[in-house]
Amino acid sequence: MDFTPRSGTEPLAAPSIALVGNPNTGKSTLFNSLTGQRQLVANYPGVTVAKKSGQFSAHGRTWNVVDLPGAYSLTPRSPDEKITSDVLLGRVPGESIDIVVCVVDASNLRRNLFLASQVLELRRPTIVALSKLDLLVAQGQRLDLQKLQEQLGVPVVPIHVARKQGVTELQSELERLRGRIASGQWQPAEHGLISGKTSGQFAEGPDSDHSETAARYAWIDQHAMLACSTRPNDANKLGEEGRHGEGSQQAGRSRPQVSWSDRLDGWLTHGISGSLTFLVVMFALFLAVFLIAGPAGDWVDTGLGWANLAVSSWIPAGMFRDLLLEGVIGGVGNFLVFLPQIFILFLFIGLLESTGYMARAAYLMDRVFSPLGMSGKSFLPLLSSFACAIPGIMATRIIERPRDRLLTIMVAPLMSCSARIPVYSIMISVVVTANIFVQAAFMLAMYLIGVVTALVIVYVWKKLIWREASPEFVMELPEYQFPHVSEVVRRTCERSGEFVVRAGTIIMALTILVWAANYFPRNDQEVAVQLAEISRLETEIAGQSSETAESSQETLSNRLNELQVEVAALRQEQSFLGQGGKWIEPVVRPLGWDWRIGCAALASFPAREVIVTTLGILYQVGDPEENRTELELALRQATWPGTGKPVFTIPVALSIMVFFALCSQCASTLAVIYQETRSVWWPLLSFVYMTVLAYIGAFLAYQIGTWVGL
Amino acid sequence: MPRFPLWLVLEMSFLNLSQLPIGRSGEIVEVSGAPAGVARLQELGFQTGRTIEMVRPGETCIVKLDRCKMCVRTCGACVLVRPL
Repeated sequence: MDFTPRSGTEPLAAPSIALVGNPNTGKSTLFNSLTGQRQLVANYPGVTVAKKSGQFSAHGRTWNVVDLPGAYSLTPRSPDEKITSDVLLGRVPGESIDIVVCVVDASNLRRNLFLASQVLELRRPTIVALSKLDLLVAQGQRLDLQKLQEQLGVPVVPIHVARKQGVTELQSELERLRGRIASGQWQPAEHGLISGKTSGQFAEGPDSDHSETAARYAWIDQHAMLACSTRPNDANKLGEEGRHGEGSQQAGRSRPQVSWSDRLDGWLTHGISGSLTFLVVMFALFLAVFLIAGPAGDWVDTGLGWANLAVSSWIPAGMFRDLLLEGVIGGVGNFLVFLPQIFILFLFIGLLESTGYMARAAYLMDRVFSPLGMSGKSFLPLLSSFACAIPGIMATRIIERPRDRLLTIMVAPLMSCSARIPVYSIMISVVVTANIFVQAAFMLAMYLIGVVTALVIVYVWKKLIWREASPEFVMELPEYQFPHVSEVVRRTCERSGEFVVRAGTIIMALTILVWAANYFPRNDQEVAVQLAEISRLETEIAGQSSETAESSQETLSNRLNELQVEVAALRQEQSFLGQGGKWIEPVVRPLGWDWRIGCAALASFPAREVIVTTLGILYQVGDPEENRTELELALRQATWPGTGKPVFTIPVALSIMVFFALCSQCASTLAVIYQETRSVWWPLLSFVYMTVLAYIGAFLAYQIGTWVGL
Repeated sequence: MPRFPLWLVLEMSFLNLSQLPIGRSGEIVEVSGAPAGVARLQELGFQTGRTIEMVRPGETCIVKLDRCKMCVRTCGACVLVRPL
């Protein structure tokens, strides 16, 4: 397929460029410094791979840029790589690229040129942006740019984005190339690359013809690599490591100087010191999430309180106000409170990724995962799932093998996400009044239950059902570097924004549905007595002059409050949700639950954090978010009708917590599983297996707990 | 002195990548196994004739290839090296 410029009144008035390159080449950093704030993150049509596009102005025109996911080859192995090759091969409708900018990591020139050579073979207008030249120099090597440019037949522009070097030069080169295309002077370079590979032949699945790969590398060694030489004064020290055809005895024994990155790896990938450091890093991560995000969540809470107040004072009482207060603000608020935690987790993970540590963590975790049949690539998605399963599931796109990706998606929701924290903390504080260490142990146990269950499921699924060997695992360990903080913050904001949009819409819609199930049918006759009393008290309070004793005013408003809570509870009992709770009582009895807990669990299926609010309504506490201690007190005092025994004992609390730890109670997660797998069966399977597992787990927790005599 | 066939003598002087001792380098002699795995390894530069250095041995090992560190577990694929 030969390239033909788009036709129009003025050809290439607003040219489109695509950035392509191996992972870790600085491609996204270049994208950000080109486009600044003018970015848009969306999805490619029909797939869930994120599409980052943006614009910049240079030389009097607007340029459209799209940042393609990192790839090692145009023969794709993962969904991310597939989109890169599809866009470059013109297989994505509505995506036309005028100029390809291929970002090549100079410090790892040979391997990066593999993809570059494939891109060159597409015979499209291309510019090579050469990054990390400083690392190449530090390795004691020298690169003749002129020679490289001659060999590749395309312009080569060195860039150093962190130091803001090379971006203007790149823009000028783009403009020059655009001018040549527009005036019809541009011709694809003839490099005598392995012939016969036309664009249509890439991306047809794993290539069994290895001779093509070998021929490509041979071309790279005999042409492009000629531009790279070892500096004369460093030649003796370094030797000619790994140069093709020069694998002499001397080359193998030569010991290059030990870089600080190597020294750090000596410590961080070591079996003992590496594992210890890993544990400390993970501990610090969770500590940061809880310590910093807690107060930040409270601010969100305060903000929501103001929103509530504003709505209550401006909008007249009625169904619409109830919908806004309980459905919209309550629904959005329920998950916005977790936003700080998710933000901090993303920030921390982003910083670790930026330094290069994440790849080492994946290496360490691969040793745990491989006996179970998974690879270290599943580590990052599972770690993200501790904040929220949604970004965790989205992060599985880096996993090459579809089955490994599916299995990771299936177990990711078992990691205790931040929405489970309120359930755990309220249950623990209700039944465990002992010291804080016992409480912490209970919390830890809940996290472990999810992790251990996930590992067992992976093992059973992989080894007994699919009967597969562990997948091969190849991952680059990039050089350590200081994190690019502004870049990380920007990416964290992007990811959090993506989460808000995805989860916010679904959660809000579902909360409105639950709210409706909890609100209707609304029969005022059943609560007529209480309503009459309420309106009488209201007029009485309004009629009282300011001189009336404060104490009598307080008694009246207290009585009013009690009545309102009573009405809410009665209405709850009559609502569809309340009826459902009564109906499922026989099912939840073996778990030690009364109808109200069953009802709260039922209401929490769309979003598990709803349980706290629902319990508050059911146990007749005003606003449980504000009256956390009041709710705890009410729960402690709750008794079984007739016997007078307390409802919330340790076995009951354990069974509730185990149920929430294992159950699939998040509609957004199911929706994301559907989006990622494009099948209704996987979300359905996820829902069924987790819910059955949760029931069995809760049953065992209650029965064993009672039997042991807790 | 018993005579061994040539292939056995050659075989004995080659090691599986995971057997290469720490700090030692070897020349890749063969990459074989499942096509998809082999293709990816070759694209990443694991090719006959290249020199590879063992940084951290084990089933999941860390190797240095072209000055680039990579972590590899070659299930289903076999990377045969000749120690240098």
